[in-house]
Amino acid sequence: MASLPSSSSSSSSTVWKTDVFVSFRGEDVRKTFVSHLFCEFDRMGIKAFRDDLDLQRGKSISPELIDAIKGSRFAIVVVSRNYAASSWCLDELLKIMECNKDTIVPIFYEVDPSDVRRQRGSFGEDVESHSDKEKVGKWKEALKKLAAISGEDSRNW
Amino acid sequence: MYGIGRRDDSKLIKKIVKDISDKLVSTSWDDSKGLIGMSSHMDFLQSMISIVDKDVRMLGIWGMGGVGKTTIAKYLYNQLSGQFQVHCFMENVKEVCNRYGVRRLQVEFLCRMFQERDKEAWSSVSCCNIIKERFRHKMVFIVLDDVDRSEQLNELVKETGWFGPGSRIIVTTRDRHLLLSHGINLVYKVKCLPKKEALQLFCNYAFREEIILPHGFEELSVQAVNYASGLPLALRVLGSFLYRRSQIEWESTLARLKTYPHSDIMEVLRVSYDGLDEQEKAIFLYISCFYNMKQVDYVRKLLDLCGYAAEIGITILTEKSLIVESNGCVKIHDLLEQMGRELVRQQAVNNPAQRLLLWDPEDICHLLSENSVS
Repeated sequence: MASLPSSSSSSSSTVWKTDVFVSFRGEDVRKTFVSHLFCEFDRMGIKAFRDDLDLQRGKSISPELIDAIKGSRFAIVVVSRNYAASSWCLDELLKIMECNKDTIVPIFYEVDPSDVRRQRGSFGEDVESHSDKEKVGKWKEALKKLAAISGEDSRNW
Repeated sequence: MYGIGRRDDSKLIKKIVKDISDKLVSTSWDDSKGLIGMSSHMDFLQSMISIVDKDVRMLGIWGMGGVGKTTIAKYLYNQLSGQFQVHCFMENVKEVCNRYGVRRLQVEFLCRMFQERDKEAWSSVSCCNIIKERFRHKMVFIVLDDVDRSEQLNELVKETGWFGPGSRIIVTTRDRHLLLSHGINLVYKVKCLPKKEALQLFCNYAFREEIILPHGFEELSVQAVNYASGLPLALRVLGSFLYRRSQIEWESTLARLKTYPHSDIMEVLRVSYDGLDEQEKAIFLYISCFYNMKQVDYVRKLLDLCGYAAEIGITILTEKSLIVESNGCVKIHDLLEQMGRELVRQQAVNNPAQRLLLWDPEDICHLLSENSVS
């Protein structure tokens, strides 16, 4: 038995449907920051998943959206002022954290990262305002984990 | 631009996208299957491209069909394009141009350069003028893949003055003369793979994830690699074809290849032949049937006697990467030789007497014994 001349082990070859999944609160940043972000991704030839069905959302996130999260190589979470007021956004975040992405990049957009980490101020109040307390516990955990990842703080720019 | 408060969202966005872009590049080639020999290509190319220099540079990647020019150009593009303001990879330039015309080629080019989806955006303007005017201050990285006519270069990247300082333009082609006549003197010649790398590439396709070369396939693998003579396209096509086939199927495939070349490989190689004029075609067929490894002077004399303009003919065949001259001899790649002979055979499959040339001793003996040759 001769050994093959090359032992290049190809890593488990997942085929990604898109390069980046972007989670954001529509009313805060869809027409501003995120719109420009998508333009730039597009210009650079990076395929970003864009959830445009924002308006016809139901109570819980759809299986298609979960597939989109799983099918993206990276994830960006734009945490803006009213992000935590939306149970939809928080569920999305939970899913992203569960999927163990290669890379998750939090962008704290006009929000203090330490408010996100400790769920203080109006951001903290928003999280607590949801009625499903079991969910709230999970969301808080996810937010804490997210805030611990190094990302970008818009106030530094 | 993004006038929100005093912050600079534009810079923040650029940073985010660049980070993601860098990560994508550094992770997208971890599968090294098709990239045997790439690092040595890169060593040469990176120094020829020398990204830090501020001049505008055009560079050619030249070699025979199937030798890996496009793969190299793609790899280069993935590695470097992120460092340029504007970049695009134009694949199959020849095909787009032949099928849809040069105007469509320009429109496609502009759409990619400006990230504009709407093809109508340039419908009423001179594309050349836009290219000339709008990229003068941009540092661009452009790859034009598989170019076969000067016109294609003239309509897209006529002069270095059209592009901003530090720009790089890469052209892949089978025809060296095309590069030289466009003033492109920096030419990287892509050669076939040496034995060891060839075997590596072949095994990557023929055995894929297996780490041990299966018993009984060692000698057959060497035979297959010899047949491909270091041509990456042939190694890939053969390797994929033989994947998961039995030993007997390997043997019969390899035996058949000796007489009948693989059609996928021939199709790619034939493109160069089809682009020749009648004289050059005839000279190519003569060389593939009789003159491989013969002294250039000798070949030239004999071809002249047959009434061909041998001097220019041999030069053109060399420029189009169909033959090489080395140590005073004319050399032709084994697979091109086989293709040439096959083309002659196909002129009259069942009637050797009607062929331009006869090279198979069996055919010749047969005809002589029938005494049907005049």
